[in-house]
Amino acid sequence: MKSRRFLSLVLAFALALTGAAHAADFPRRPLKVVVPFGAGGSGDLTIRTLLKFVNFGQPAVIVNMPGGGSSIGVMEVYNSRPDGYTLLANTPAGMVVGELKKQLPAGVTSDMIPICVMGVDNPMFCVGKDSPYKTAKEFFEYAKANPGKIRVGSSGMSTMYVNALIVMDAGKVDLNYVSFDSATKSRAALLGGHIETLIATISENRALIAAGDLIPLFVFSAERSPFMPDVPTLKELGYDVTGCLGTRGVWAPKGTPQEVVDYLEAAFMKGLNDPEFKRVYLEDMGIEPVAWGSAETRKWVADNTAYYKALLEKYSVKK
Amino acid sequence: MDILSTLGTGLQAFFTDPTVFPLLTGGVILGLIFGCIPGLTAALGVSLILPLTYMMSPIQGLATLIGIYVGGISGGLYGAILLNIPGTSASIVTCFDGSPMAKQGKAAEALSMGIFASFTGGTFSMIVLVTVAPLLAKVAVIFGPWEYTALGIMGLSVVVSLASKDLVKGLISAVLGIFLAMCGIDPVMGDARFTFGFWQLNSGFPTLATLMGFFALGEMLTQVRSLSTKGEFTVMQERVPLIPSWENIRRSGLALTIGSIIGTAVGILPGVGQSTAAMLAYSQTKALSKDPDSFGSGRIEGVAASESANNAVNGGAMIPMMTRGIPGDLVTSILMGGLVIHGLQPGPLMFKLNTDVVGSMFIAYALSNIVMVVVALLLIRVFIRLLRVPAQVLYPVILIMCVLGTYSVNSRIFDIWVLLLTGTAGYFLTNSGFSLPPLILGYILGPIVESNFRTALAASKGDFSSLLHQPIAVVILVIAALFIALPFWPKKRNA
Repeated sequence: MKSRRFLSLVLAFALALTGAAHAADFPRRPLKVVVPFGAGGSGDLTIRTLLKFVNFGQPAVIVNMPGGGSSIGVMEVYNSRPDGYTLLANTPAGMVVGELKKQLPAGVTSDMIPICVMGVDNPMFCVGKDSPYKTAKEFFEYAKANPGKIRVGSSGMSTMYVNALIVMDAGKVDLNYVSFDSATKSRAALLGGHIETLIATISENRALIAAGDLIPLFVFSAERSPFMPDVPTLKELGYDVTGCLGTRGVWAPKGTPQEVVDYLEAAFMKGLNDPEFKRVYLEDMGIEPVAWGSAETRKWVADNTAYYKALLEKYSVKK
Repeated sequence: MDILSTLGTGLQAFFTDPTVFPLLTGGVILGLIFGCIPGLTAALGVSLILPLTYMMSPIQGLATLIGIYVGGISGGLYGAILLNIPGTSASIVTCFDGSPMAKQGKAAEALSMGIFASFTGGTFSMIVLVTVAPLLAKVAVIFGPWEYTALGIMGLSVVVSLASKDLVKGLISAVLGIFLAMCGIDPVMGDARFTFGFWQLNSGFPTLATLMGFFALGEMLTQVRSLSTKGEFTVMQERVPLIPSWENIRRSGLALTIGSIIGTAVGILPGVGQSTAAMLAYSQTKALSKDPDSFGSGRIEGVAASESANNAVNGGAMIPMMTRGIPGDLVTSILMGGLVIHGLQPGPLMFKLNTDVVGSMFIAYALSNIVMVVVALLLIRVFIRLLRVPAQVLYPVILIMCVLGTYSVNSRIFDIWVLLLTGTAGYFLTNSGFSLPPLILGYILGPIVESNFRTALAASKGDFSSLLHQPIAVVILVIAALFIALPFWPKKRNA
């Protein structure tokens, strides 16, 4: 009896060890990171830069799968095997809005497992250099006095549209949202005077801001952006809201084992905390580096989903 | 900003580093290979090499990428002329007259003119880029939604002149193309159209798969029927002249001019692209020629117009990219990513602060055209030998390359299915007398017209009369109306 017990104890111990050994075996082959945007854009460059600072022991290959907003890439990863070898680099806000707009099946965002968030590319509200209003206060006054006259442009009908709705809802102004199929087209439209105001990300427009062609009026984040410390936030202007932020994160499909998620999270966090990585993001790319882990991201998504949903429902009646 | 000093700084930066020129040459050769193989494109070449350039200095990286760009757009003409299968979508129009010329035994003439035209178009747009780039940057933003709508409509009106032989079938093709482009998520409002809940169709029928399917696969399927009766592909001339004859150059003078100007102008306008520029240039050349009906049966001017236009787009596209950070086409948007990753911000500041990079890019573009001409002309002999390979071997290889190339764009099996589907559809369409060029025009221009039209109306809150405030748009629409009316004009007189 005693020897049997001993044997079963040894066996149990051995089995427990193999469990740990499996986790240590990951990764055994290269990882695939799907980027649901085209090569060269902000969504693509952010993950490429981060991967240079992360060491998994195996190479990580980036695969660009643009299309359908970002829904094609998201669905590919969602439907892939949850073994940790296929990851998604995307903006949580984009996924939340995509689900609300029925571009993604319901539940995709909450089903996918967030691993980390690497940086925030905040949107800002700006005007051109010939604009009659050059501060946020002047803009809101003008907008209140001229309902429906001011056009605000941006790319697409997802996160940027929600930002426009936030401005309209919080500031109680009536703006005319014009959607363009790419950020560059919306930027060109502002520069050409076809729209009066623009909602765009900071990182893509630093050169134009420095040259004076774009004047930022306010930012959508809770705190001022390190790239433009003189530009107020919506909160400071008296509107207690934050916008749809351009947080760039990494996700794993539903069902990925917890040890694998933990391993990936640890590896990413190491890279995210590297001071050289932070410097590259800040100085070279114009993106605020952050280091959110899995739990923080999940909380952010939960908090913001209800808010965006209410906004979209409120304004969809007007169609 | 002094042009000569920029060029001087560029030359210095370019040649101080001895690795830059070999990298550029390597880029051009790689680009030509990617361009000539149907299914592989310039954009693919650039996006594959882009990560490698992160390790290099900015000037090394940009020289390589620009080399691939120029080579890639030029390379498509080999397949277009010799096999009636364009290597890239930029060379679709080159098939129209290039392939008939090859079948008449004039393949070498067509090839050398095509390469010469590519060089001419590229050099013309390079001169424009270097001399007036900052001034023209304004043009890139003057075109707003109404202007793009008008431009798209003008492009579509070209259908009438291209399909004048059987107008109804041409229009049906165009509508079919527009319909294919409509499937997917609507770019303006974000609603899914004609996807039937099938999320794979969210981004619509992928462009490369569709174009390659219709032109490459469709053509191969058609040719396969007559394979048993045909021995070789084309009858090649004994002597292969490398440079086009003076007479050919003289005859194509107008075509080259039109192609270069239209190509540069289209390149400056973001989002229009090489194939549209080629079609516009071709139809203009045809309309202005003394014998428009002979186009499509082997007129060398057709090849000249198409190839000069598609290469001119490259230089044109670099103008808004460098001066304003607004990329003119897909490859320049990837190039922009290349600049950003090196901490460079394209825009007016880059001209002031990084004059050496700007100058090097100008030099790189100019040199790429020269290297391209030399390599491309030498490659003519290689391609002639390649044609001796029997079709039974060549076509499957091309098919494999198309499949691989299509898959490499988005890494989706769905794209391959689209390739096969459109190839089969293309076969049936061609054999029922429906020509493909109107379909492609509809497919490419339909979305441009639709999204810009809706954006224009959204911006004016539904007010159609806002069109009248945009004189440029009105002028373009009048030109479009003329394009539609002109082919019918003489007939009216006779009646």
